[in-house]
Amino acid sequence: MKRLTGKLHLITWTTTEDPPAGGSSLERLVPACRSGDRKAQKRLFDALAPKMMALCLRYTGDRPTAEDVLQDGFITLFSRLDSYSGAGSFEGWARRIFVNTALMHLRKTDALKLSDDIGEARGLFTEEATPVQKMGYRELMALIGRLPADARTVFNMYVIEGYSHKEIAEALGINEATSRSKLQRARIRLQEMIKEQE
Amino acid sequence: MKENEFDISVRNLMSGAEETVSPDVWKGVEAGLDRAARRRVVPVWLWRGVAAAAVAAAAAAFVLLRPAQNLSNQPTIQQPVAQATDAPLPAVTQPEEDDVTPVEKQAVRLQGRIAQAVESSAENDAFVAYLKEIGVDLDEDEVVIISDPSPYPERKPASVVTAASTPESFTSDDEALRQLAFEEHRTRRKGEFSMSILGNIQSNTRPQGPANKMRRTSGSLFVPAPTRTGISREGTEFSFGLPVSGGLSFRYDFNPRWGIGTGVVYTNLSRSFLGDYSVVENGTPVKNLFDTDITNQQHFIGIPVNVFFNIVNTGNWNFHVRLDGMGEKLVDNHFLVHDSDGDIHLHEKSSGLQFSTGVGVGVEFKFSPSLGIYFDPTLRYYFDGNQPRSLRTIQPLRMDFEAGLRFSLGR
Repeated sequence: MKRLTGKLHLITWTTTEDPPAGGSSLERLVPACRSGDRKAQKRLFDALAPKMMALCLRYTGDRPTAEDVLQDGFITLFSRLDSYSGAGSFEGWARRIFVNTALMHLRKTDALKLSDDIGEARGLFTEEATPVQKMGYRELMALIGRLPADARTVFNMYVIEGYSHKEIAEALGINEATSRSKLQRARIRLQEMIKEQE
Repeated sequence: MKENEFDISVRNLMSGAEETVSPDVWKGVEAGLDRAARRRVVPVWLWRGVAAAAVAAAAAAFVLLRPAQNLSNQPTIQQPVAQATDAPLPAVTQPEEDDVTPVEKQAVRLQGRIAQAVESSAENDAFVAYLKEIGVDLDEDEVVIISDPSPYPERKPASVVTAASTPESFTSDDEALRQLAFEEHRTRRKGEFSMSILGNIQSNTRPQGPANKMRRTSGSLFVPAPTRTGISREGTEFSFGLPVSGGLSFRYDFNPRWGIGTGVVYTNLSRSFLGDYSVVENGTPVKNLFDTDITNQQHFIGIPVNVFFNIVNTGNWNFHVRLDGMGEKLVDNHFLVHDSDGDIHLHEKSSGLQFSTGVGVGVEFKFSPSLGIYFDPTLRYYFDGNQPRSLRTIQPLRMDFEAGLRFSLGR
């Protein structure tokens, strides 16, 4: 099995907060969107929606719910454009809004209540490689969607969005130890599911 | 595989991923934006209000100052009366330029009108209307006397000026009018109390741009999970009602130019928004309401202090500038959370006072010497006093539109 190198890790890891180089086309649309220009808003929507839809789908686990969150997120985004200072990347700012919207939706449906169907963590990661890189995006997305909502949320926030346990704990109303525990369980459960797919 | 490598593998696969989006989502976004736009405020535009007040002030000044300018064109007592009746009235000594009060000017004008009225009985109706306009109340029999075709100098003036305090001393119309003017002048110099019943609406516009940013409940990246019972999040779709006030005020005019005032004023601020409400027991949320309709009513009691400067003060019209200061106490901050299980009422207290200051121009029309109606547009600034969120904390510069009835309480 092909193993990722440390060098590759450094190259591929980027945070959502990296400032843009010279401003992106998204940021150039912001002033017009602020003034309520519907065409500019549509262009911004078209540019952002596919990525944000993927984000929403990761958090909600099903497409109809993800579309609801996506819609609410865009309404919030356009309503709060005035609070975008331009200091960081626009996409990073937008991602926070969609993560927030998804979290609010999960709270609303009580999906973030502690679940016990994930079982105990049965051990630490082994040195044995798991075939994540052999999987396609769709397969992995489907497996993540099968995680319990609370574990899936912590996993998404920590592994993919790059938030710290402290930030996750504050957002979800749990302590940092619980956040770590949920993350570990999510990892193990995901690995188990990946193995089952082989 | 180590956990770090596992995480990175997953992240690499997920980052940059895209999904197709149904066209219905954009339609929903558009509908949501339209809905949000409709929920916005009923604007009473701040600067349009200022502009309207300025135009009104300029118009009032033009109307009110014009008669004073024409004063020099009024026929003197000697000339027109002599021509009209062949019975000239004694000359009236014009007051010193600096000591001419609006009331005295009215008196001189009144003399001229009397002379003209004697000349043509057809003008009597207009003359009576004029007397009423400037606040001289006439009974029916007095009107008859005015219409009396007997020679003007011999007509007893007492019936015209019975409101004056010393009719016995009158020997002629001009003397009576001078006495009336003097009495009015003397009264004003002694000062006058008045009481007003006031109402006020205020602009409910809010600023555009970064200043419109709503304060979040936390400075963190996320809206935090609720830790106490109450409103845990205020959404972005919000609207503000027109602030309304009502109260009583008392004014004391030292002289025809200067006056001070105070009183007690109740003010209601309202807003509505979508927000989250949570009930937390032992640190754990046991009930959550998300994106529910919440209305907020803030009730203030305030004490104003006003200084008035009368720019023009004629018989019926008063055109003035006012400077205001006010301290207000938020006595009740009431939230109504709409819940299908029954509405939830929350009452919060606030410490400190809300101070404000303002400057405005105003116009008062007197129906009679004891009753007038006024309109005072005022530009007001609210100081930051750590008060709960309201229109005043979001945009502290606001436009007041105060109107009221003013009753003279005498000296």
